[in-house]
Amino acid sequence: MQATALSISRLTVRYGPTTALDAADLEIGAGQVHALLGENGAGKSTIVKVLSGLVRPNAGSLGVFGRIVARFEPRYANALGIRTAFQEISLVKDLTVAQNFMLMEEPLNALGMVRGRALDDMVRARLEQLGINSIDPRTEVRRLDLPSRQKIEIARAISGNPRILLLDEPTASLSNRDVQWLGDVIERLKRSGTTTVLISHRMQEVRAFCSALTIFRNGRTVGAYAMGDLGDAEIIELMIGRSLGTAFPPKRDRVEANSKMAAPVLACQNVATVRGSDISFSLHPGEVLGLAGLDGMGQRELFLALFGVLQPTAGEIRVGGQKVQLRSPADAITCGIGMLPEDRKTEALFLELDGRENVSLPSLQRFLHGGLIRSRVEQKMVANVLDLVKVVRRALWNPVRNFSGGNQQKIAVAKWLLTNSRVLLLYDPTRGIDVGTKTEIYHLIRRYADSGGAVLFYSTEIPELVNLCDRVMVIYRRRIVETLAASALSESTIMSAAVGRQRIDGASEQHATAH
Amino acid sequence: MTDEAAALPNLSTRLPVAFLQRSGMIAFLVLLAVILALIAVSPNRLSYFDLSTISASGTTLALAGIGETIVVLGGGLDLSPGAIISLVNVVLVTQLGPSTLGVGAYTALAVTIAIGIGAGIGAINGLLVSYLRLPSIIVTLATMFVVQGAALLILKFPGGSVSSDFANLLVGDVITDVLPVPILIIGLGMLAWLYIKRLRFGVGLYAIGSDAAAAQASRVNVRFIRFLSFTIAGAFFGAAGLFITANAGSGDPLIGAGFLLKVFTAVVIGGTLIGGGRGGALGTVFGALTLTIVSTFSWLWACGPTTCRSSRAPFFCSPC
Amino acid sequence: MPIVEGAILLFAVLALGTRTELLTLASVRGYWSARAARPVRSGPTAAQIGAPAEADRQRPVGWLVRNGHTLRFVLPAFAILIVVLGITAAINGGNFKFGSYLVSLLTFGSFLAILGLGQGAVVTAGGLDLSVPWAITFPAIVVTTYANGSDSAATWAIPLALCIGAGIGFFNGTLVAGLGISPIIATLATGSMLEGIALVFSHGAPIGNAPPVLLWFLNSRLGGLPPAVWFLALFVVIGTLVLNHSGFARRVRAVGNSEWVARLSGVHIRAVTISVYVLSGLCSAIVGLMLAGFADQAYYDMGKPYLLASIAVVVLGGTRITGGRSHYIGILGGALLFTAMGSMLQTTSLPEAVRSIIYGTVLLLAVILLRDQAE
Repeated sequence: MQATALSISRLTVRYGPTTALDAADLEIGAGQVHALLGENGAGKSTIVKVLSGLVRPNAGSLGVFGRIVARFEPRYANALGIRTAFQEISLVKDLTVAQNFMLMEEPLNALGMVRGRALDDMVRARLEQLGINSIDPRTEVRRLDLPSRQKIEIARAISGNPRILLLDEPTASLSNRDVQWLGDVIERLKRSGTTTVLISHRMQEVRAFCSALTIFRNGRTVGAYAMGDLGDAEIIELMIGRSLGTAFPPKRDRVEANSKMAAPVLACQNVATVRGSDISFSLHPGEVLGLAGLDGMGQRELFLALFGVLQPTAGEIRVGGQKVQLRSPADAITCGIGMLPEDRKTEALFLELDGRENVSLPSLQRFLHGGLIRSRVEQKMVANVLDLVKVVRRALWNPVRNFSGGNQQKIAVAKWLLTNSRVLLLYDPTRGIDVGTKTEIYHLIRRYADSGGAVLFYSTEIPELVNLCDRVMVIYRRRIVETLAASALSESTIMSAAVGRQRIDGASEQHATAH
Repeated sequence: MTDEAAALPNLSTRLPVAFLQRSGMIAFLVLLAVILALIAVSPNRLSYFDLSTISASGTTLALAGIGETIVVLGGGLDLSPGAIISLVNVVLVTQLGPSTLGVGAYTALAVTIAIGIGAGIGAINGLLVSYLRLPSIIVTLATMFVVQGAALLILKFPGGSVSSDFANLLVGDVITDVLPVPILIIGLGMLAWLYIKRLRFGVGLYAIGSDAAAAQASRVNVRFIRFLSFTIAGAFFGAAGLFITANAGSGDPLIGAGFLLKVFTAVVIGGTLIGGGRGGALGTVFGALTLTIVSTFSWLWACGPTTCRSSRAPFFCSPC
Repeated sequence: MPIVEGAILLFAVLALGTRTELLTLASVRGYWSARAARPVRSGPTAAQIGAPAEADRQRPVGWLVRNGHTLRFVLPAFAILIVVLGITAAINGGNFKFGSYLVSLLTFGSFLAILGLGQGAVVTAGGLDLSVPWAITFPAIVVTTYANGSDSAATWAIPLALCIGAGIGFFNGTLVAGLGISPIIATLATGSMLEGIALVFSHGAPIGNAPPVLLWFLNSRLGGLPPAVWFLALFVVIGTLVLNHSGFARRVRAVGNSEWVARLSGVHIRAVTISVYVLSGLCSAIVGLMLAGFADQAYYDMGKPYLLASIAVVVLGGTRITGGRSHYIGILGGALLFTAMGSMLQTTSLPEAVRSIIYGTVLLLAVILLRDQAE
């Protein structure tokens, strides 16, 4: 019988009124590669935090290789041989890669001072050992792009020769090749006896790397299974607690109503954003226009330019036929454009403020009378829109930080729906969101479009683009290389264009998910 | 989009400047420029006496600045340097006074008292900020009130004196007419800083100032390092109080009152970022010296031609 | 020289590279072009998208639920205030006349209460105003110099003083918002430059006399109370509305919580930042005038005790020092508490030194009580 690496029994973690883990159980055998699956708010990241010593549980017990864990501090977890690559990258931006790598473990001289060159050399050697040759350990982390940071985050966790390796969403920003690299590394570690715990929303990786999985829902353990036991649909069903049914709302038959009829509500002509580009497109009322592209192809800059955060260096933007110069988000909102940014915690919501203040802010004008807020009107309208997105009423009065990721995202969506904008720019709105909430958001987008709104929808998940959008543009090297009409939408056509290939009829050889 | 600086790439042009800023080079160049400007403008030659006077005036600020830099690098703020300087001053004057102990014993005792008081108050600040998780600006504001009050209690009005041997020791010359002791003291302070910076504590301090959450997740003992940063800063403030006592030769419960602005100015000139994570104390020392020179110079300029006749500070006679 | 030091500080910060986003004509053009493109008919409303009708009536949420969070940080100041009042009454025994004590508490407390609005707004927006003492002193000096005991001159001297206060605030706000300088540095520098100017202006000696209208404001009786107290009552109403129930308040809180999120929600960061500093400068000027009226003169040091007091009052009132949360009633409580403590200590004839110690200790206790729960 294999030894048990991790044994969690009836673990409970509460943050104020929210229960993140509710008597959860988990058992992982030594040397296994084990996946933790579940919606957002199901408790997976909390387990990682407890194991890493960042959070102290309110009840329950945790055993590591047979020893009960009594102290919850990062250094103690480290001493037990646990290493973590966090979802929110835990590298210090002002330090170099080398300094981050060996933080608190640097080589010292006789006086206790850090030996800089020895440090750099050590880290360089370790990186090479792991197959990372393109990153200079003397670079400050703030100079690295996101994929590189993620690789370093993972590398750091791995290089400590961990007995237990925790990977929380490690591939969120990695390229295809890097995902391959990660797979190789995990394989090597497995052979040398490391136990790996992987959290990922990407079923493909989960199936490729892991031999067993445990599913969580609402902070409780649903069940533990071997990888071959369940099909994807069954897994999803267990994760969300009901049958998924049709995830996507039915698309209206748009063949006749497409483009040429209604006047575009938003149009870009040769818009060049900061990094030098050339983008032209038009967006019509009632349309959901998708945008596909690999990381860093200029989509972020486009969104920021459309919302007044960045100033385009060339080209013109027209809203409702009128040429505009958007110098600030306030200008964009005035013209009827709203944007849901990428990261809800740091860009879309004020975590410390209650739902009412969060949701009403962009629309504040409507509730002001002589400069003062008409409280009852505001309350009514915010409650109304929260009902629309199916968030509980008590969100009005409680700080948004107390709600799960999915609910937070819905509150953010509500904020923009309240503005009565005619154009919504959605930047990867379902990233890191559980399956159930995703479906709700898809339906909201569809209904918004059906009521006459226009949506520019960027997503990193191709199936979303295929099933939700009326048209899809593909951006590559800061240009729109392809615009696919409804009939031509398929995963392979989108992917081919996204990686810069000419349109090929028939299946492409690339994996369906490239990031 | 999570990094605002990354979202607005063109608007942040700090990068090349930032490196120079961080290593204190800019502050050094500014200091050099100020000195050269004065040499150019003054009708008299730079004399040893000027060097001695300037370094004596600037040492207190330099030491206090090093301490403040340490706190600021960790992301905090310390409003208590002035009060600690005052307290150390009155304690030395009232408890040691013009005692007849030998110079060695006297100095050793004075150093122990000064650094002990400073580090002790710093430790209290550190405990409150780090272990009770209170915002540093309020905690140090409150301790400033308390410590200043204590100083006033101990010595109500300016007066008293310290052993003149001790004073001369700290303000005199190491090598007559070549190296004043204050310069040595400043040098020691800078060496101490360079040592601290290269300890694991130092790296951890920068980490905490840059991103406390990431540092915590990276197994840095955030609480302890933060606590230590306030304690060490307090020790430096105590040292500053020791020096100013030797320089002034007497006691004044409000002697530290004007220091807060100067200390922050020196820290900022030195290139340390308020909020932490970038910068260093070398720059602060250069900033302190710059500030001292300009301050002295401007006072003299404002005070008028009479000072030109003074033979004790020939360098600072500007064409009036 | 303070002016020089302040100027050096500013130049140093500017020269060492701050993010410069000056207000340009382009921003104004942007504003107008956006307005021109404003939709005639708005986009889909929540109802159109399909929000459920009001049919499902939920129980109206109780006042306590809605305001529970606020009460938690507003009440402590008042609780401690009651304790202090009790101690004061006990110390004075039979001699204690509550009525006249209350009047003097309100009169003296009004200075800090007014300052508290300005500093409170700045702190809520995530900044700090360290130029308060000089924004108090300088307008006061201007009034006593130019009005010098005459009401007719006061008709222009007083508005001038208020404009100066607002102007100081505008300068601070521009440094912070327009040039990206840290508020501590910016206001510290402004303060020291003003200190230098005031020194030159006054040569360190008290000058002039307050115009009779100010003397009347602080020292006479209107319906049994000094006019200043009626003014305070009005001010409290206005202050609460401004700091807590206005659109402005929401935007200030937004900026204090996260500038980036606020910006992405359509808040004009620069305008809000400059406004709070202008408000602070204005409040400081008002207090300067009141102090001049109270003492019948203005002198170089008059503002000194008020800097740390204004910060203490704001913190005692439950304001989060890092920004994003505050309530004016709490700040009022803080002002009254601080004043009451001061007068209580004065009656015990404890030396100034002990008072200082007690202030510090109470401040510390308040902050410990009011801190956010650890995660």
